[in-house]
Amino acid sequence: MTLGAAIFQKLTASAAVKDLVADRIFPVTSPDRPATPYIIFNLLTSEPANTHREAAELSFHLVQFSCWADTYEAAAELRDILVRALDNQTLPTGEIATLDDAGRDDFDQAAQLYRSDADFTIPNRIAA
Amino acid sequence: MASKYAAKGWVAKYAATATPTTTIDNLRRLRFKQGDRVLLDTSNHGTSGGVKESIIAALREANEVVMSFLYDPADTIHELVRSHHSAGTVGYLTVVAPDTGAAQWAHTGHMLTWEIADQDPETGLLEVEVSYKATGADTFTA
Repeated sequence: MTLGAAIFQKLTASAAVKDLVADRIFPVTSPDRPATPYIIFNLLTSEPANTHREAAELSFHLVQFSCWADTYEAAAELRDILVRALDNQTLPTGEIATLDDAGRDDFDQAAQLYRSDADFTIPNRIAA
Repeated sequence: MASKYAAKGWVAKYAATATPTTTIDNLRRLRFKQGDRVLLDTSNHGTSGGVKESIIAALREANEVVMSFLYDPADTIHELVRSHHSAGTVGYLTVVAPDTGAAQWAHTGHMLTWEIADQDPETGLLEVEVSYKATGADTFTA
């Protein structure tokens, strides 16, 4: 199972998340003008656990979750619910997500939408 | 002209008997030191030139190896390392360099330290650092 699939499965299993976004959880980019609110997640960086003789079997990914909504309050609420659904929770891959940062807000002039971000560090097993 | 090599590819082999063949899996960091040798001060009233005189000591320190590896308590060799440290049992460690000739140093000695590294909940790895000190001369093979 890919990390993206595991993230999607974990978030859609949360009733609180699903009540707000249904399955509007998109990797990297959203379709044109989706219904709000919605979530986009991006893998920003990764740090593999390298050893001298073996291929790296484990990698730590920094994943950014952007919560998009019509109002600041709605975006912030979605972020808080996402954090509770993911922080220190075990993904279907068996790894635990750890909150790295949940204090970044923005407004997109082109989309006229508010954005609230949360970053997580998520270990991921690399398939042999 | 001497060749250059990347550091990746060191091998550490460990066993309870001489000439170990089983590797320590998931080796991360390795620091290896051939034992220090000191100079003996032989300065005397006849020493001239403003500089001390000295001779090399006949004996040097035994070799020391410090390693860290991703710790798996279920791994047989990882457990051997831990138990040898715990009980003070003699163990045999061979370190093999990643050069094309696989230069190696074979030792008899003891695990002196065994320490779980700082366990950061966000990006930490279950990693243990051990130090090994030989009890006599090593055998080097180029």
